[in-house]
Amino acid sequence: MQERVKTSPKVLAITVACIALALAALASTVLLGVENYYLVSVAIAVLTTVPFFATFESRKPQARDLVVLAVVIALAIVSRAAFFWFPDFKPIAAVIIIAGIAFGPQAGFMTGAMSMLLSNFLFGQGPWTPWQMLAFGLAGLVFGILSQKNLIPHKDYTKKQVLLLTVGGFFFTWCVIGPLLDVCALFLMANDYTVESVLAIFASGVPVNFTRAVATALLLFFATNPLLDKLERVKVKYGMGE
Amino acid sequence: MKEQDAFSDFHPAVTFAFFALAILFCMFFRHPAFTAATLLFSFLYAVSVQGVRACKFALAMVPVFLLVTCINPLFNSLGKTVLFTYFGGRVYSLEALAYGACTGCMFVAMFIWFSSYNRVMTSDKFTYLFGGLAPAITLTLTMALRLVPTYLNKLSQFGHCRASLGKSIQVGTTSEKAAHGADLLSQLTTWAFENAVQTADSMKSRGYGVGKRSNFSIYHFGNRDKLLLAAMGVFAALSIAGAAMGVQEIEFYPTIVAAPVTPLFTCSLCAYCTLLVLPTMINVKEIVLWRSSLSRM
Repeated sequence: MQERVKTSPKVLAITVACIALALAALASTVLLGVENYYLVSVAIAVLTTVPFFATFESRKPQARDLVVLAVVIALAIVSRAAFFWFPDFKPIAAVIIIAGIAFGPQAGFMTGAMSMLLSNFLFGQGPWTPWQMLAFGLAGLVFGILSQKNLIPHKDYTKKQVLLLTVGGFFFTWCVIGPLLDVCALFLMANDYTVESVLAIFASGVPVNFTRAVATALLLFFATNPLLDKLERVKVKYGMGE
Repeated sequence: MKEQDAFSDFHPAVTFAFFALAILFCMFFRHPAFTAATLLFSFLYAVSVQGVRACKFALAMVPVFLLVTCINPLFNSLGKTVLFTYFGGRVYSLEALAYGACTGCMFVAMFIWFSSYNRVMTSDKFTYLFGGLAPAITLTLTMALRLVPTYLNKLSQFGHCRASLGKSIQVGTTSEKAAHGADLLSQLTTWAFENAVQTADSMKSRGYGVGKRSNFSIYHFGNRDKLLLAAMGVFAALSIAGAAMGVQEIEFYPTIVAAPVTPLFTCSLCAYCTLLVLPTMINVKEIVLWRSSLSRM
């Protein structure tokens, strides 16, 4: 949860190793013509998440950091139940985005990645797990960075800012998270690609991604300020997650 | 269910290693014979774990298989054997259909393996396995796993309470319902964090973070685990060796050309089949023993 800039040599080594391995995996496809794109892409997806986990682990997080993270993850998963009467309403990305804004990029990524890992314990792990972890982790990471660099406020959003965040969250969910999840389907379904097959797979994902984006936008619109207030209150009152 | 699945009583490392190998190989070995093998054995194992449910699951997979199979030729017109043409000349070829069928088999096999994985590798086994590697993350995961049902329960309590105030999340316009849903979530958040502070303080006062954390576990890595792991290693190595020497080479386009069936191919395929059938054999052996002990009673 802490955003101190302090990298231990071990984490640095892990990060460098991960980048090297990911590049090697990429090179195996591009240069050596290895055709198992799914495995290569999963390797890259996993290797991207490892440095974040290693950083978190190496910081020897305190009890409060762990508990806050666990609570946010559980809330992200449960968020769906508050809207159960909407079919396919999955506003999980909204909670992750808000967590990223409140706690910064590192914690945002952890929230996103671990929410997906955990929700798959409940709904079933599958070949999609690494992709979901990466895609939703990115949501927390990107909005965490935006908030850390003061490009978006930490709290007290005006009406206009809420609207902007809603639109931003909508497009991020629709155009970044969705297609990333479709990449998984793409690499699973076929081994030889034509422009048509790639387009068809991405096109088939559009309606699902759109629904997910609408859910995210709705929750961001209604819950950004209340949730950020509460997270802020916890930070001030108990000094958690700082 | 418990007595039917002896394999899940093995050490989690063994179970996890098996599923990792089975699923990775399923994606990696794309020769039709190997894909057929993994499909067959994934199904047999699923039946031994889940019984009738596995058959239902497999039936539900048939449309997926057909979809993947039939769609491939639409995107790929490389094959030489023309089944029919459409859209004024686009080719629907046998080779592309065959390739689609292989991909479909792989797809279905992987889903069946995962369905068994989800039954056998429960979250407690997962957290046990990775508890040493990433203690903080695993602990977080364990806490969150416990919080989900608690929150769901609390959410329904809040929901009933709000419903009696006329703020049910099920009435009103869509916008009102969404607003009520967000309110509900916000309430839950307040409650959750107040509770979390207590948990964290309690953890701290009990000395969390002072020393190395020990874990309780009921798993024992015994001789049978070593034996099974070694056997899996040997058969996996043989399968990989075969693949590395190119026995699985096959071209689908323009016509299907497979590498000749050599002794090496047979050897590699047999090793692969043995690897995949191991857990099913363990389960079957256990059932047979149980039955025979029953009949002697």
